[in-house]
Amino acid sequence: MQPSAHPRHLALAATATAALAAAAAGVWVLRRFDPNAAGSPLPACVFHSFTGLYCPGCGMTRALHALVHGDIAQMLAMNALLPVAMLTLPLIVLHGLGYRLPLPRRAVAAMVDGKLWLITLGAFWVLRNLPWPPFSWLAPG
Amino acid sequence: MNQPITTAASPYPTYLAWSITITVLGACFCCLIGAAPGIVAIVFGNQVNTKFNAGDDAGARKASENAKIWCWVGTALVAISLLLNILSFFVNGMSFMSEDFLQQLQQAQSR
Repeated sequence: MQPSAHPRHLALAATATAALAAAAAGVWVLRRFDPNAAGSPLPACVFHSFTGLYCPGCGMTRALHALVHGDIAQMLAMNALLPVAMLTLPLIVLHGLGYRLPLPRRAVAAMVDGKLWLITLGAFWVLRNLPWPPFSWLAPG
Repeated sequence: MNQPITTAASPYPTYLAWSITITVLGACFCCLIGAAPGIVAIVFGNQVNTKFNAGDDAGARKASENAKIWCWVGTALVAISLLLNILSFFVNGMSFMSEDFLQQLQQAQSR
């Protein structure tokens, strides 16, 4: 092993530890409290309470609650961005730390392109607020 | 995994995962103001690779630093708004809480 590779592995270990700790805390909270219940202590979306519109993160807590309880369909119904983020964010972090991903180069280039994400987040934000069927499926619920 | 980096990516981090996360969380916790720093951070992070590939090393480093700064601004905003959310729950929350939930909460605490 090259000495120059060490900081990268340390950074990965630190990131993975922090992510696992956060995930464990999240699982504990979501097994204990139900964000679907009235008066749940889990915070609601401020953007939605002010504007009545959905933001890209709306339904994220309920989607995570569904995931923790093994309900994949309900997770997708609540926030379709969650599985996308859960798959791509770790890969982006690995790429950012300097690891080579076992994916086609063009796929990696597209994934770490900021423009793609700006368009994805913006489009998701607008489309899930449209009231017509193909788009309204993106709204939480 | 120990191979040296062979892609032509810039040596300056783009903080993309961080900026995407704070954009989504910021949008949820404190409206458009919360999403703005994250979007700015994604734009600067994007400039890192663009400028590096164009041969502008100093520009790429500057963009990376800017992306980091905006990531921290967004993170601070998310942290503050999360605290405000929790605070408002304790100030206002109990009044509209259902009887069922209070029982659930007591059970959770006694466990």
